[in-house]
Amino acid sequence: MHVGSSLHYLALAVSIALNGASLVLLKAFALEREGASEPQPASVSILARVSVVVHPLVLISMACFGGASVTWIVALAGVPLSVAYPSMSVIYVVIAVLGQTVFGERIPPTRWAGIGLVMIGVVLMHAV
Amino acid sequence: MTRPTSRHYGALAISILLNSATLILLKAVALAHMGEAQLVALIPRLVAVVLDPFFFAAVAAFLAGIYFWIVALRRIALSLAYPAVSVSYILIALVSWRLFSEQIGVVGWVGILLTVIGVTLMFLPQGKVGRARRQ
Repeated sequence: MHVGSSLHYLALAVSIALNGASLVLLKAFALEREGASEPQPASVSILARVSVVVHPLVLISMACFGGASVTWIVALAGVPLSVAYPSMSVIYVVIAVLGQTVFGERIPPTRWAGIGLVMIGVVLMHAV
Repeated sequence: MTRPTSRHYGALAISILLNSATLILLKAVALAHMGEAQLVALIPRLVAVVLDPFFFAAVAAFLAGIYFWIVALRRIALSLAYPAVSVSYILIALVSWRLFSEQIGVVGWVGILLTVIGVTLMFLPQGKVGRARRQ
């Protein structure tokens, strides 16, 4: 693959998609836990709490996150950072839309405005 | 979804701190072992990374961060929680500035300011009576 080939950009898109999938899966797991049980009292052991998290949704989410990290590194081999980080910030919109469509979240205008500012802010923070 | 309590917002804050700690620790490990960007002696350096106590701390912080993130996500909307994680970039930038002598620059400071304003806007209670009851 030469620098900046379409495969690097494909890797970037895949990285964003896997990142989104990872987050949606964790949210789905959290909602399942919320629906299934009351918050555990402080006396429950750490081991008992941690063992709850070893669940297919969480494991697949972690796999997606791992995949997102690997494809991100692959993408960075050919995509300049000044393009990669702004492209990555699109995930804030992706997550907002997924939150609305998959989980029925309401997003008031001020939250959209906040998301927009965060997107710009994050891009500027990573500007080289 | 019922409304989040301070327990959930607290868990969100903790997960953000742990996320920052993970990345800062990984940066420290990378600086210690992966100084030169070469493939020479990669395997021994990777072994050194895995054996580094800071790497262990980074993994522990990452796993703990996932736990608190899930607690937060039980009640807090994903579209609200995820952008909040951008605060960790601010913390990392500030710590890198102090600890690793990294420059932030005017553009970076503007980015930090915009992110702070953005996250604040997102967490403001909504004005109207009806909206104040929803996330």
